[in-house]
Amino acid sequence: MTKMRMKNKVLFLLSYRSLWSHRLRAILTITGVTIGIASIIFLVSLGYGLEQLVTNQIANFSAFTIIETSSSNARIVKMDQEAIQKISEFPKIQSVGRVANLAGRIKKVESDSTAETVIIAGDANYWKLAEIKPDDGNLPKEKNEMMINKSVLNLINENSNDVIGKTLKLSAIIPAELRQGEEQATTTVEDIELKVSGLSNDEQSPIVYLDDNLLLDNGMDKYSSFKVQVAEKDSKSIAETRAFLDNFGYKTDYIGDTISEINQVFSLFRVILAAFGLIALVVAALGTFNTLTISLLERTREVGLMKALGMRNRDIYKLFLVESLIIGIFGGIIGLFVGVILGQVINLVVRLLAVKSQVETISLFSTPWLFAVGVASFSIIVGFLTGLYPAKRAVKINALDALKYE
Amino acid sequence: MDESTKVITVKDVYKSYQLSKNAPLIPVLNGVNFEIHKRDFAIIYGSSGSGKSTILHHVVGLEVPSKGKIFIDDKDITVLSDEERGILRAKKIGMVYQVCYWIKSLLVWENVAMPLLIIGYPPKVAKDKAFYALEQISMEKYSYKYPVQLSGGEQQRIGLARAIINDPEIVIADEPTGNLDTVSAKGIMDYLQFMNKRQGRTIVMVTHNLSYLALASRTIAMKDGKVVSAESQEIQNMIKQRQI
Repeated sequence: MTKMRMKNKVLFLLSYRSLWSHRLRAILTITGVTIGIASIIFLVSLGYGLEQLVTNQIANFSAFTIIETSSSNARIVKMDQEAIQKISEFPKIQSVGRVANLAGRIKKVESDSTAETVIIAGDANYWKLAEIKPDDGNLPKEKNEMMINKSVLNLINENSNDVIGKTLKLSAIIPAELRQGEEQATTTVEDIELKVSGLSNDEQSPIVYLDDNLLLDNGMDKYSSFKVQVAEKDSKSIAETRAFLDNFGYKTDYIGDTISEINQVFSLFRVILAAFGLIALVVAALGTFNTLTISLLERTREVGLMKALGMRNRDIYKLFLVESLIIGIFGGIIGLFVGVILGQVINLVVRLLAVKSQVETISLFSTPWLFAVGVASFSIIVGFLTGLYPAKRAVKINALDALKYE
Repeated sequence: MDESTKVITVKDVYKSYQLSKNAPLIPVLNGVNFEIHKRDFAIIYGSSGSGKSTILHHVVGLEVPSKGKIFIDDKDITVLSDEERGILRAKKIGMVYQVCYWIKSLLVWENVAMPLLIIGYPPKVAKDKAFYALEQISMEKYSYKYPVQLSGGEQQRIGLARAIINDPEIVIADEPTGNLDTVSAKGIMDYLQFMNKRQGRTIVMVTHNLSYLALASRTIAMKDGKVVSAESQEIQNMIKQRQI
């Protein structure tokens, strides 16, 4: 006997016709799946959108190239000029910003009342990498210059209008950790007269920004930490550089670590959102199952007829499976569009509102295409799975019984 | 006629049913034997419950005997699988039922083309053949209607077109005129005769209507699940009663 195979095209048309012969039912069933898929896409896109919003706030573009490098034991793992020399030789490293954090006291030249302040002594690289900028005047470029913030101004009762160019007296307390040699103790550099070159509007805690060379001349030998900038932003360069720094014994921190922690929180959030959407899809799947079962019962005779006409079991199986696949595919694709478009419409509205009230525009919804395609495929898989049982039952139908079926 | 022209051979076929697991067996066929030869117009008749429809279902392979053998063209169909019997039906046997069964979502021509589509004909070829078959019985004007929109007689004619679309050697008809008025019934019988005489197909028909016996080249009388002689008292009584 020769092989006889029903053409897949014919099977598809047969399934399609049968589904479409109950138009309202088919539309309602597909709508159910559409709502399920659309709600998953919509909710999870919200999750992705919020995540992007937060991570964008935390990390701007250049922050991702910077590795914070510090030493957990300053005596053993030294952060001195020599170390900077060695680090800078690593090809992946573009620049190293160095900084020393220490405490100090500041006062007016003519006054005796002093104010406690934090001293940040860095180099030009550091100011750039840490994004420290003056709101008025300049960063300290010479050893005899400093930038102060508003908080310092308030403490010493200076006026912000005419402070730039004035001379103030600063005492810096250089702790032992920043000094070379084991016997070295804390030393204080008293009353250096420095010209105010710039002003920062920051009012949180009093900070004086100095050129690090000033302190190097006055007994400081080591730094508190480095900002290491990597030439390439890719994760491989970052990982290699971190490994290189770890080998020296440095402790490294990278903003990507924080981001991945945030990502974890948001993935959980997305899972929760997806679970809500999934509820809708489960209901839709039950609806599909119900439709297919009813369709099977209605067509028991037709199945009997097709078997009597010699249709193969596998073709009958396919017939019902294709029907549920059609529901899954249509529901998935339409749901995908509805979900994405709904999110984009809300984005547009939010953007218009933002423009109207002159605030920064944001996107609440973001749909990664891979995720979208994944969900649409998931719908097809759900369609496939819901079709399995009715298809199996259809195959088991006895032709003769089915023909007599009322 | 010599042995080689036998197309259907039913040999010692027994069939009994069990309605539930521990229920007693109900015998329906009790050793049926008959042969049908090529180009026969065979009529199986008998009273209700005589097993005539049941033996027909066995011949087309929709049921398997509890015991015994059935040959179609020397091939024992009782050893075939369900699906293999289905393929055999699709290729060799056309069937007409008392009630016409349709795939309701398909048009008339699509229903007629169905047996061809099932065995893998390209849709275009199947369509051409279906239209030709419908023209042959002057039903082409209904091609684009749904079968359920037609009358019983019209449906039965289309059923005949579907039965012979795959050019089967054997046409099996289970009370094809049972639900029809006399005019429609005559049309169907004429067409069955046309298939037999002109197209050379073997016809096996089950009927209540004994007036058709005159058309048959072979008659098989059944009673209580057995083939009985046409001359037997019961059959003679039956014939007399019907003819009055």
